[in-house]
Amino acid sequence: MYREHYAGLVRTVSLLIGDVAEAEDIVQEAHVRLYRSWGRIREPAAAHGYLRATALNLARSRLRKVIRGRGRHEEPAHVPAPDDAAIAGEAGASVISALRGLARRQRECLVLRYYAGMSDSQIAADLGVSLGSVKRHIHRGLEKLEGRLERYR
Amino acid sequence: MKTEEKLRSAMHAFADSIRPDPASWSKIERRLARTTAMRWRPLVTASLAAAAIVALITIRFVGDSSPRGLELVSPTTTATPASPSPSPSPEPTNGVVVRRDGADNVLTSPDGEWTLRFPSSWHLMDESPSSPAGTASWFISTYEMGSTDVTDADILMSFSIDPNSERIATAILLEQSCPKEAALDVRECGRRTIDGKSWAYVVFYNEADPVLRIRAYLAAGTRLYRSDTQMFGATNHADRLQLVEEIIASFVIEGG
Repeated sequence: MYREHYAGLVRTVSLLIGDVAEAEDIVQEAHVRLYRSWGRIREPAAAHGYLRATALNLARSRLRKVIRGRGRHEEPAHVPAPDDAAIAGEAGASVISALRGLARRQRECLVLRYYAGMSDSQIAADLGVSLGSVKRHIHRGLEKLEGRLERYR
Repeated sequence: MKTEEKLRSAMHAFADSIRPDPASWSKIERRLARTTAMRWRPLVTASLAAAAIVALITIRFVGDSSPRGLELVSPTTTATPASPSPSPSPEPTNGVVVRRDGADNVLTSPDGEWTLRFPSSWHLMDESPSSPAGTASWFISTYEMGSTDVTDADILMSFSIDPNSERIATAILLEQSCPKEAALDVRECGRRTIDGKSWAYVVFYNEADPVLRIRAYLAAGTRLYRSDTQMFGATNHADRLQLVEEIIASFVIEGG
């Protein structure tokens, strides 16, 4: 489980929260929780879903704490770190920056759909929302992203 | 390029280059060990607490299975009988073997020569440390353990054991009935029937603190003899012992 999914989950969570070290911490905690809950998981095949959903929940909680700590009601627009541009190229950095400026649900749905390659129904199950809600978040997220990228040009 | 493709491409370009910490697995293991220990800590604490409670209940139960109502009180506590701290013990104390027999406490001398029986609802206190050197003194009272009102006390009997002869050297039965006289003195003596048994008794009056004064009086080992003398008219030691034995004989049921 660790060998197969750890790196991928760290990358996914990094996209969501913008901090690799934090992402590692979250995914490690998710593994610990999976281990502790192992007896309650009926099918081993479901373990990965549990792990991913736990990591996403933890990432969400972490973001909420960060936002509360800053005393702000809205998530801050992400300012790309210098490394981001070097890694993704200038255009890529703009996309990542625009992504992090989206609402949390929209960002989650886009990352899970276009990076993790999950289906809409899988996303709906992991996030605990309806399928229609996932489609709507993806649609609006893409619209907003497009608008922001237009402004970057 | 569509927005979706730009997004996918940018995310992969950014995220795929992330290399997780090689030590992450050991970090998970450490975290797991830590959280497991933390999860068990409340259980361990609860188990220890439960064990302590069981131990306390067991001790209490064992105490109750020894002669009920028997209270062996430390010397400092016997000095303040209004709030004694009982420490029941089934073990022989000061040479006197204490045991429970039905509803009674039974005291047996080390040589088995005499036995004293009294209701288990009465309290026995060991006051030997404050007694004259070498003399083991006992004090039996019906006052409620833990009572703060010494005037509630019914002092029924006090006696001492002479370690040399291992015999009861002095014995006295007291009955609470303190009128308003302040003097500590014998005001009444005689015999009365309690629970169908005949008892010799004397009554000491002391309004201020009957229990303490009488106990000090007994412990001093002086006025007791004088009072004995007064009480029973005995003028020498042999006479006193004879009187004491008579008194004892009135309430010793078995042996002696």
